[in-house]
Amino acid sequence: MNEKRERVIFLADCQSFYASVEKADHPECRDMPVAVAGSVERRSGIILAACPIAKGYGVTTAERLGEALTKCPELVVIRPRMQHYMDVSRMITKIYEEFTDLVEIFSIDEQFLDITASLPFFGDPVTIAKSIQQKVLSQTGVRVRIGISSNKILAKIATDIWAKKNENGIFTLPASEIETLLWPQPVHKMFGVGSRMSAHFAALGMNSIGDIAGTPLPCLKDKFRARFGRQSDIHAEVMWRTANGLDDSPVNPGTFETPPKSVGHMMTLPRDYTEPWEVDTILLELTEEVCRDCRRQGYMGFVVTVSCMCSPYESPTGFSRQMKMTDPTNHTNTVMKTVRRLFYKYWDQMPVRRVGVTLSQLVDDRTYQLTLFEDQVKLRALDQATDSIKSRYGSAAIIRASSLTDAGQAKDRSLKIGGHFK
Amino acid sequence: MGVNPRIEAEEDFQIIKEYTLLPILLDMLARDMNELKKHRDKMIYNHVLMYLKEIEEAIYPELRDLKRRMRARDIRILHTEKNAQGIRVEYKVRGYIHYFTMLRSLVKAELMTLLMNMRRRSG
Repeated sequence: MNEKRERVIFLADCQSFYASVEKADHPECRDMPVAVAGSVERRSGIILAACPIAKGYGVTTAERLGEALTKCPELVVIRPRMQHYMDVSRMITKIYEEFTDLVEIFSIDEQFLDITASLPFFGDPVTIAKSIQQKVLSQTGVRVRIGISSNKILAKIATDIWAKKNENGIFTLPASEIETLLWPQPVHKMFGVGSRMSAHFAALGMNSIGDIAGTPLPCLKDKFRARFGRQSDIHAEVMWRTANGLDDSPVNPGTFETPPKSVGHMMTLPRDYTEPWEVDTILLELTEEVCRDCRRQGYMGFVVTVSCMCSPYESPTGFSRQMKMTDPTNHTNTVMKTVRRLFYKYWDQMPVRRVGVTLSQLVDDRTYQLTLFEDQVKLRALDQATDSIKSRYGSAAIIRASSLTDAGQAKDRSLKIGGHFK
Repeated sequence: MGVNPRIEAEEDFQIIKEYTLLPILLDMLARDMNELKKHRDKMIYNHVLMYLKEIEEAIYPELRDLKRRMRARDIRILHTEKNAQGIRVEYKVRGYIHYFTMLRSLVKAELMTLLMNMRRRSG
């Protein structure tokens, strides 16, 4: 086999994923503007996905529900069903796996496929892409757009800039044509560049992707250092490689099987919390979630990170600080002691609107350091017992007494995934 | 029909989709007709029953036609599995194995669309 053969990589992206799933499940809404959105009362009242008809009215993803309803009063708003979207996403991955075993999940609605070895079996890339589109549409009601190129970054760019706007939803971007197709594009269309980064590039005199690609890497690093400080070399190289369409990374089917570097949870509170006992309740709930995840995955952590954002929204204050514990642990109460120490050391007493707890520097939890000062076997057995109750009967089956107060969110969160309804 | 026998044509999996969904629609109709027969207010329910019966009778020739097309295109169903999540069909198209999967919520929605299309066709 010719080892130098150019790879053929797809980036398949589901159009308005959550909204498409809902539209497929509600045929009566086929010709109506549909959006999936959280609830206003719980500060999650933003548009998570809007169907193309709703987008035609100017409704955009991540805008406030109220604003969307002003633009489009007849908008059909559907509550999210995160577990269902995950099931559909898994099903779509299975369909891709009929065409190649090299499928990498990039997000809930995007997957990379390496179809290089499938070409002799199924035909040319566009034929395969069309067949994938038809099959996914037929089985899930979701339209898939596919960018085709020789590596992952170019496939992603092909999808974002062209395939999403094409009528047939397929676009091939050969590496040999990036000079004519990609480089004339404005900087803000490049993957990894948002509004703030565009402004930085404009200040550096770079307005097109070609301007970044054409700047010698050492020169770009110098410019980044002058603007962002010493620690910006890697960022400069990522931008330069993206602009030049350079990406050697393989399509890795086991992305989610690699061990995590940290385990964390964050919560945006339904109202501002001002009393320490209220914040303590949330910190304990978050610590419990983090430690339970660690125990489920078989890890203990050395480093505790606490982050906090305080009101007002327009000029928020907050912090993100970490502390290393003497021994690694996944025991809720032990981690909670460090969490509280960190939080009260840096909290400026402003009303809290978002808080997060993370455990990192993870190690295997099968071996642990013994100490005379606590009965670890007993503590572990208690955690194990509560975990098994939660696994069997749901996360809200056994909760801390403090979670039953007004400040508690554990019951509500047990109904959600990632802050949105299951 | 696709040039490459290993890749399915759109018509292939549309046939499989209808051939999978129509028997489920038949089961659903049979169940609902039995339910309607129990009601005393025959005037109203007989009318609905008659309509459902018409649909049921229209499904059989459709199924026969699908079977004929499956033979012509060398499509064979190997295994059908129904579970809490939905339905999964393993089938062979011109010697190559493929899968058709549909989640339960979409099965219901697709059946409603099928019913609507049949009503349109029958006028």
